[in-house]
Amino acid sequence: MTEVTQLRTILETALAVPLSRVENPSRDQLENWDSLTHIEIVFMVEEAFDVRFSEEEIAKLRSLEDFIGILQVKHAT
Amino acid sequence: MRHDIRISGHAFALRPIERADAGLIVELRSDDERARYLHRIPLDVAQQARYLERYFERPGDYYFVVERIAGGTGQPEGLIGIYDVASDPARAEWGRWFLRKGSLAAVESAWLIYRVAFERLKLSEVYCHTLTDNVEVLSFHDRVGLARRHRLQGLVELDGRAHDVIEHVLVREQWPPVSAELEGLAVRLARRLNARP
Repeated sequence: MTEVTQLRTILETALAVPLSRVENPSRDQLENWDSLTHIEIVFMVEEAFDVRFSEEEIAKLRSLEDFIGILQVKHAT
Repeated sequence: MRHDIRISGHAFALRPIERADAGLIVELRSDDERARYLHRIPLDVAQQARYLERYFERPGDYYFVVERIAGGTGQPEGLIGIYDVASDPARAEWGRWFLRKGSLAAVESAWLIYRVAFERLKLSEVYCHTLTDNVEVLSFHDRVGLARRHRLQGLVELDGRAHDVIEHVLVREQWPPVSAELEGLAVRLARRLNARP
């Protein structure tokens, strides 16, 4: 499973909605991506990819692309 | 009203608001993006201080500052309140919930205000009103497990337009599982916030 597919699966699980037709799922688009669900998504991504996000990063992560980007940075360092 | 309820969680705490917090109210509410679903208030410290003086005399109104205790900073993160406390049945509304942009205090401040409602004020139910446009907060309440009780048409007037609100309610019998869920997440988050960098 690719990183993007894994992230999509996490988002679909946490948000309980199919996202296959959504190019870049984001907090601005998805009504149920609320502050509680956001924390759950962050913890799920951290566990799945063995990374740890800072407080500032948690606040800035707002879309699938954001997660893809930050994982690339973390895996490169 | 003047009260002395203080309650601490795992990374955040609620303390009574003070007259000196008038500037904090203005600072927080100056964020137009985050304030768009709330009643407009004068963004003037002196006027907010006068508002607080009136609030101190108003019975059944408990207004708090959300403070960060993780790391011992005591940094104010936001505001929250319980008001319109009634005795028969013992119920109240909670709201005035306003957190600094980027704050991670949402889950724990909600848990703490429910603890105030059920453990300190011994209420049998607590409810909250959210504008139908405020979909993220509606989702938060749904996700926590609150029931949608009413849609109140035109209850709130903002910018000269009447808005519908959704009333969510949490009754005492439903509090234990809600508490467990909110606290579980708050504990996990607090481990992060309490960890040394």
